[in-house]
Amino acid sequence: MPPTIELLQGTLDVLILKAISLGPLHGYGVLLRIQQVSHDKLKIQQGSLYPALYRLEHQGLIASEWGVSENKRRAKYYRLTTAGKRRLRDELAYWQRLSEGIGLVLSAATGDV
Amino acid sequence: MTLLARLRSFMAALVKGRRVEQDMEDEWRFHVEARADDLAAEGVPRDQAVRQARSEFGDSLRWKESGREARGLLWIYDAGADVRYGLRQLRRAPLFATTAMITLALGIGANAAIFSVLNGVLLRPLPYPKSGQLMYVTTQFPSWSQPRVPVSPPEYLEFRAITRSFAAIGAWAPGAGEVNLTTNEGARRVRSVNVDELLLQALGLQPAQGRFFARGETDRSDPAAPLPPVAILSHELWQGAFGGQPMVGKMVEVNSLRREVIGIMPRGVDVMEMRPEIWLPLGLSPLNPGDRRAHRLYVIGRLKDDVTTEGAETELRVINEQWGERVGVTDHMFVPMPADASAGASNPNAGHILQLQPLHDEIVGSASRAIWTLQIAAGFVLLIACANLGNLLLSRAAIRRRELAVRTALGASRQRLLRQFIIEGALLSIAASTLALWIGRFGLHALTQAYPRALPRSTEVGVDVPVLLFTCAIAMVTSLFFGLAQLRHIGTNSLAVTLTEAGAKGSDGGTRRYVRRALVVGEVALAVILVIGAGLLIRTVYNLTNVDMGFETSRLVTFSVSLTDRNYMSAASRIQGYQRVLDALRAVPGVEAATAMWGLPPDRSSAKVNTRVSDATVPSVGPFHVVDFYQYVFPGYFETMGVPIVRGRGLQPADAASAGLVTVVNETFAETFWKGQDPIGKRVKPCCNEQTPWFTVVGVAKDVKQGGVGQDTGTELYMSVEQVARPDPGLGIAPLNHVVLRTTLTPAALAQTIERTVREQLDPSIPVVRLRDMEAVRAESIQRPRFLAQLLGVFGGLALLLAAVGTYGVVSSIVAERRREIGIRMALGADRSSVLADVMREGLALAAVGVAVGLAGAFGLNRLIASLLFGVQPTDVSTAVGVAATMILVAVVACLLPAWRASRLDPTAVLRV
Repeated sequence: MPPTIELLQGTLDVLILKAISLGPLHGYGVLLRIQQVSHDKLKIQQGSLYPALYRLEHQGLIASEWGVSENKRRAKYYRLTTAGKRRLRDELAYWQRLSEGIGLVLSAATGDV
Repeated sequence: MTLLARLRSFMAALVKGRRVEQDMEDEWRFHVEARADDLAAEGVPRDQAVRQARSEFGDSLRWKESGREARGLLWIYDAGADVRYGLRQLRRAPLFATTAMITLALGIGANAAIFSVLNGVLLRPLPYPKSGQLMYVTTQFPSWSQPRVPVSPPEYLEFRAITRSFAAIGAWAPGAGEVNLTTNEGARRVRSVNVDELLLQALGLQPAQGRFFARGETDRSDPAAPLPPVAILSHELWQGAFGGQPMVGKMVEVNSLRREVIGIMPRGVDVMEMRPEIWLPLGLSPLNPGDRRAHRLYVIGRLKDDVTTEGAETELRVINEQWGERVGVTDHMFVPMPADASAGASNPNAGHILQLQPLHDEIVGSASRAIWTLQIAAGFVLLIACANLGNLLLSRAAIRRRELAVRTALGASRQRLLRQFIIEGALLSIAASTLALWIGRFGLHALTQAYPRALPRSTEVGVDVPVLLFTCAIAMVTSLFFGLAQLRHIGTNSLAVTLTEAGAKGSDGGTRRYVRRALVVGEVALAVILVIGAGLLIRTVYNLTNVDMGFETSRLVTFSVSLTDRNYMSAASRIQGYQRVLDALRAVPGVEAATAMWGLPPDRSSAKVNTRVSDATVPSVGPFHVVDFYQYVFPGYFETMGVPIVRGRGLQPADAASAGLVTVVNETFAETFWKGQDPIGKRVKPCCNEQTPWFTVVGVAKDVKQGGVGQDTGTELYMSVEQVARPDPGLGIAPLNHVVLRTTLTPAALAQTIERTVREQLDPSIPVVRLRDMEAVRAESIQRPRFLAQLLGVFGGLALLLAAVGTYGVVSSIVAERRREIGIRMALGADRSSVLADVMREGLALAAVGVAVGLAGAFGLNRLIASLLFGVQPTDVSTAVGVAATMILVAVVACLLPAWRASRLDPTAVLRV
């Protein structure tokens, strides 16, 4: 089994937003997409996805409606709201800056200082 | 915006509740199935795939909880559980729940009722627009004992012209206070006031229908000219007498004069507690305003928007100083009292000034102390109720210790337990306050029915929104109090100790014991204070009831007829009319004597009249002395009323025709004006002017209470109506109002006879009103103290009962705590009587401390009600001793049962456990 990374507190939300931004997904689909895109490097406790989804929905960042899945089952689909899109944009910019900053610090060679 | 989304999701969850839960489960089932499908597709056997999918999903209960939390719903679910749990707890302890609820309901109910009164009478502004701007303008006479005297017409008109502080100033006069109104259904007496159009303007009133008096319609150019025959009906009269039919423009007959109804007042409109049913024009004559000394106008002004009370007072001070110059009068003008009082002695008018005060203060002022007293008393009852509940809860907390320990062990947080307690408290409080509102409403209704005139503005009192809020606030505070009271006992003992203490054989936490004892002491003390207050008021009522009114009150029946009819315009015809009625009534079997008079003792309003008194031993005010009461009577007055003549003779039928004008004075009159001299043969000149002839004093009558049972008697001058009505004194018409019969019959038995007599001897259009016996008159005149005494009596009784229950509860629990100890002592040979004595001693010691604290409190607090008392000191020792003894007796009874139970303990049974 490949090594997995425990998620940082609060990062699950932005991952969900990103996953959904590519198109409406049901909960399981969100999980699959995150694992697929991250090449299974991120470990998510499957059930913990749902409180996060509900929290985002409660905040009005995503909206849900019941639909039919690819295998003809009733499933609940989530999509981004306008507020969600805006939040994702902010979060992405934030992560960008953060990872750049951290990357620079961590990759600094003795000569750079 | 996200706030809105949150709210929406929250509300959706709240409304849909169950749906949301179901959705979660559906969603997760799909997840697990989809995952199982994928695993199966990877080659995992089906049943194993399902298992693995489930386990990968994790603890669904946990997700559910955090899912709810994510929606901000957790507390609702918890609270729901707490409410259900709380209800179950209360159901399991029905005795506790019922006792607690009733105790609390009585406490809150008493407060709701009294706060309704407080709010309706004292706190709520008067029911006029911007009522804070309304000022009551009065005058002052240093020589009269009344602090506020009405204004005379010239003074009113002059002030109205001078002042710049008021947007409008108007005046009213009670006139006769009542008029006869003839309707299709017969005659009725209705309360009336005479107003000018400016008064209605100043009060800010608008007619509900029709119009008000027009400018000039309430004035007359010549004092002798008739006023326009118009009238305004109150909403209540319009409904009651005319069934709400269209009345504007119709004619009504008032004192046999036809008047046009020009308008209808809005519902409930009043002016200074007169509760007028019909409003008539005042009829001042600005060109000829009349006597400067006729202080008969009640003046109300509305301040301009930008003028404060202080501003108006400043202006008034200046006006008082400059009155003579500005108005151009020298006689009976306003003059401030000079700083050196002796300098003012030469000027009889010194100190006669105009003054103002907020109208609200004038109307409610005298009642405010009584109402606050009641509110404090009701507060005491609530405190005692809370102390009792505290006790109940503490004993319950002892019972529930194990339950709480177990819940704590299972992970309940302190916060969660606190919430549990608060919710239980809230459940109790809500139930109790619902019951309390009902009690309050009922009590209030009973109060205003029983004592309609004990308090001002009583028609405006009701259970309304502020009262509901007040009640809810009390309920909330009490439920918080419950929570905190019980929480104190969580965690004071460690879990292990509590659980291993299991059988609760060991003794209780020390603090709890002290708290409980302190509660008993506190409630006994409060009860003592309350009962002493009630006792003082009851003594007051007793004293008032037993005041010597100066006449024989038993077997007296009185009623009132008013001959204002056109047929009785002349004094002679009026007197003959009364004489016919009196003669007919004297012939009725069972009637021993009958008389008629102007004012009925003991509750007349003082009518200070300027009078010339010959050879007076005290200095006069200008040429006059002030006499408190004039009384016009028929001969036979003294005999019928049972007023002893202490010197000389009374008024006799023969006086009617005899040349000499005679008068009888009361003892106070003789002592005030002719101290140390023989009053017989002295002379007085009643009222008004130099042409009035002298009346010779022929007798002195015993003092009769005229201005209130609890008041000083005042000086009184009796004159025969028959003499006064003669042309020679030139006094005009002697007013007559009340008939009094000395009889063995009851008012009810006489009613028909009297009505028939009046119909036959006078006129069918003249109503007979206020038919009652003299005891009822007396009772009515002391309505407010009776009202106070009765309410405080109820509160005191309630307090005693609650204190007894509280003492019983605590002593019982003391016995429960000491069961083992008592058992051991008895096993070692203590006899039953010593155990009994021991428990009694402990209980009574608490009560005694409570009584001592209560007595100290009473001596401090009861001073506040000194002004409400009559004939008894606030520090009255016998009341205090009596109450203390009663309280101890009650405590003895309350302790007896638990003490007896303790003495009956079977040591073997106690020790075996």
